[in-house]
Amino acid sequence: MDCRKFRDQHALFVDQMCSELEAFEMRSHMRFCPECDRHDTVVRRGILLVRNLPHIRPSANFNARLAARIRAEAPLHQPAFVTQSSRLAEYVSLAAAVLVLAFGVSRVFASKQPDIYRMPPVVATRPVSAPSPFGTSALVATVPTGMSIWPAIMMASQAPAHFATAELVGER
Amino acid sequence: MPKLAKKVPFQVAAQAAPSVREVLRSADDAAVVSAFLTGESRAFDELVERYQTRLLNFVFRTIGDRDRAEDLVQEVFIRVHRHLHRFDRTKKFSTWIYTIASNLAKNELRNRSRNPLVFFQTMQGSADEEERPLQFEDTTSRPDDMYRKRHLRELVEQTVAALPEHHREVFVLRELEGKSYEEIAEITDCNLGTVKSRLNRARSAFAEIIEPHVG
Repeated sequence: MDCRKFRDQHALFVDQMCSELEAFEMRSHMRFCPECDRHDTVVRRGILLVRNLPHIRPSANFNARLAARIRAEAPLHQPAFVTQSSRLAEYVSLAAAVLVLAFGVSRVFASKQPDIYRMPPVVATRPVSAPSPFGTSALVATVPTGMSIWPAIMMASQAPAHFATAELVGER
Repeated sequence: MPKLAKKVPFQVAAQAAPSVREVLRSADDAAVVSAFLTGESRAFDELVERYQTRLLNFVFRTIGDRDRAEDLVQEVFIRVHRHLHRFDRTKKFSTWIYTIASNLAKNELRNRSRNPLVFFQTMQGSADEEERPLQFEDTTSRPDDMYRKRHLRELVEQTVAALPEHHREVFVLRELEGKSYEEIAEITDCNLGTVKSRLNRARSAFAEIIEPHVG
């Protein structure tokens, strides 16, 4: 054990709160370290002096003053036992008041129409969808048959004609 | 039954049925608190009786001003009276009341640090007065011995007062009030490690100052 560890553990050592092994180490250290031994002695003497300091007593009128203050305070702050029954009544009346208030508030809100800003209706026109140059009736008819390959072939074979139709529609 | 009661001498009857005060005096803190909360106002007097001197010494050693310490202890009891119904009875009453006293003492020191002139004046005022002689002061001893002991006591008090606030509080609670480390931790709202380290430092600082006078 070094001096630093000794000083760190000294409070516990003095109060006999360290383990037997630690106490043994502390005593062993003190045997070889006069400085820590001296520290231990001085701390113990100091504690003895402090513990022997005289106790001061409250002044003669302490209790009378305290009683007067408590009497003066009594109407403001009643202790629990004085108001136990009245406190229950307080709680009940408070709960009733809260219920009445909540009911009243809900009635007020129910009768009042909420302020809703009504905007003028917006007239919208459905966009005219241009006929798809690819979606012919023959192509659509083949889809439910499950032969998905044929629509693709048909679409590919008819592509030049569709492009021509699309161009003509665009020019009109 | 009334006839029997008449025959019983007063003292015997008194012994058979102890007064409320006697019952309260022999009860522990928890029982006294319970008695107060069930309406026995004399239980509060019992609590005051038990704690007034202890708290006065604790607060006095912490703030160093006797008159102010007494005012603060009064305030402690006022608060106890006001809030006892809120006290968690699974805890120790003594820890609770010391916590209140500790907080009031800390507030006092904080206020003083904002107004050092008042602090100086109050310290001057309380330095001279001491009603009770030293416990280790023997009146039959020689005057120079008495003087030396009185001087030593004053030195010890000054040294305690000179400790840093946090260290002094822990030191006083341990050495003068005999509180356990756990109780000190609860009263000062610190962890156990902090209490140990503060106590260690306070003891070392105290020993360093006092060493030349006791060596």
